[in-house]
Amino acid sequence: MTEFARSICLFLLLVLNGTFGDFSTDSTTCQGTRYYDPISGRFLTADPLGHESDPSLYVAFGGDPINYFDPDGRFARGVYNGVGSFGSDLSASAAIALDALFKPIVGLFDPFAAQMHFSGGYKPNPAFANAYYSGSDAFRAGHQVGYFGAELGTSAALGYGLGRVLAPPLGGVGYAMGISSRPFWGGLGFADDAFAATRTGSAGLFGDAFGMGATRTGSAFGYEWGASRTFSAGGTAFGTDLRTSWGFFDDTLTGSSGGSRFLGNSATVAKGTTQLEFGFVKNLENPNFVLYKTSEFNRSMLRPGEYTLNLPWLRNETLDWAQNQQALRRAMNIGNPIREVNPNALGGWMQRERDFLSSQGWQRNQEGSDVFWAKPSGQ
Amino acid sequence: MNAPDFQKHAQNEFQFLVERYGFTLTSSEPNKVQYTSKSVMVEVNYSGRGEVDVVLDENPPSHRFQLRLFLKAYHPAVEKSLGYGIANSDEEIRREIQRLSDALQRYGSAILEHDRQAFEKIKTFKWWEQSP
Repeated sequence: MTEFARSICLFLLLVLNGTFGDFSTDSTTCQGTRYYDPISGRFLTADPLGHESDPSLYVAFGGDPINYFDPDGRFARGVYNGVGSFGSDLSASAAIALDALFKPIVGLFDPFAAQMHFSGGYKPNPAFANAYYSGSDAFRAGHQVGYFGAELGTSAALGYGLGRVLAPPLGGVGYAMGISSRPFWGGLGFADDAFAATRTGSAGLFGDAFGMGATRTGSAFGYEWGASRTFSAGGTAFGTDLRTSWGFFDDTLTGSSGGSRFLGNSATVAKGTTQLEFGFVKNLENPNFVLYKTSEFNRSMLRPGEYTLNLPWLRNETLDWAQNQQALRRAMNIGNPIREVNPNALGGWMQRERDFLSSQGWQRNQEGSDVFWAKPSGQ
Repeated sequence: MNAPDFQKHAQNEFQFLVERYGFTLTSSEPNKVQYTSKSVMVEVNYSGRGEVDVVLDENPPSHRFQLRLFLKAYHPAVEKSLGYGIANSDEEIRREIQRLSDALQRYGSAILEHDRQAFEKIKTFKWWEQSP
């Protein structure tokens, strides 16, 4: 595959997500960084990560396409391990964010099912948000026992790790348990982990878990305090990762270009560097999606904790709506009230989103000068 | 986001502002064409992933609002007939602009002639408080 083809492949992965058989001239499908031949059940090119991800450079889905999937051609991940498996590296975490917003990857993985799986019996929304990004750590806990256990100040992540090692399909259970503890906030135990020097330093410096993430990336402190854009503007690999990944939940940073960078850098991350997921956790703790009219919107209209999406323009109404709808469904799944930034605006995507919310039983309510959509009672 | 044909279509379809209402073309960009008269501003824009819209205001600016909102206040059925107003192809763009232009010509004389009462009503109008 040429670099150009690979770039297109990556772009499509971001923009449209999933497999792209329809776009291929033969039976192969674009699978993120590689093409997959469904007949032979193997990738056509070697794994760009080398043997780190699998003994065979060409094997797809860990040799088990039913129970595993591989969104970008670099790792096979267990469907039911979902988040936990994703957590094998930062790029995986970020990929989850992607999954959460777009269509199921490879047709085998239903991100919403995964959410349900990991947040089931739990606080639905925060658990979901935390789940994803805790997942990466949880996975590592399985391989570096004590690392995250110490870091998190809980045994939950450790429990996950053990669960994964001993019984992979059950890994999510232990993992999910870890999430509710919201261990990142305390900044506990950093000194014990493998990155002790860095993390401890940052924890001490910034006094919380986000300081830790900050130090790792070089400036996550800014991220914690809302300067994520400054952070990403730094232009480091981490910054780009953070920006891009985070961007799926914040419109400043979204879009196909950001997404492309994310994929590019995630490969780097997967080779052993570390990460950003803490920012995600913070960001997704209780996100508030908003509707807005593009021509009448500017970012100063957003309030703290609110986010919107600036999805790529595909110039196809059906595909564009599919993106909108997927993002909106995700916001609905989180369940927080959805504010209209420009309540008096009519027409366009905003109107279509209103119609969709209404069709799903959501209620449009005015509270003072604000207009919110609220999910149906009982859901 | 450039839509080269938008500019041409917008100028064609809104030329009536110049010819019949004495407006001047004050700004023309690939995604935004703006006309002003002594008292009124009309802006045709193409933004937000294919959204075609007409925004109105007084001149000097006081309160921007969509043509759609004005229609919703006075001619709700007409507003509804405009649909979502999303256009991607050249033909779709032309058609959407034409529909908005037609609506403005047919129902918007109060705005174009700067009927102060119409502008004042819009400032406090909330479409969702209007009875269906």
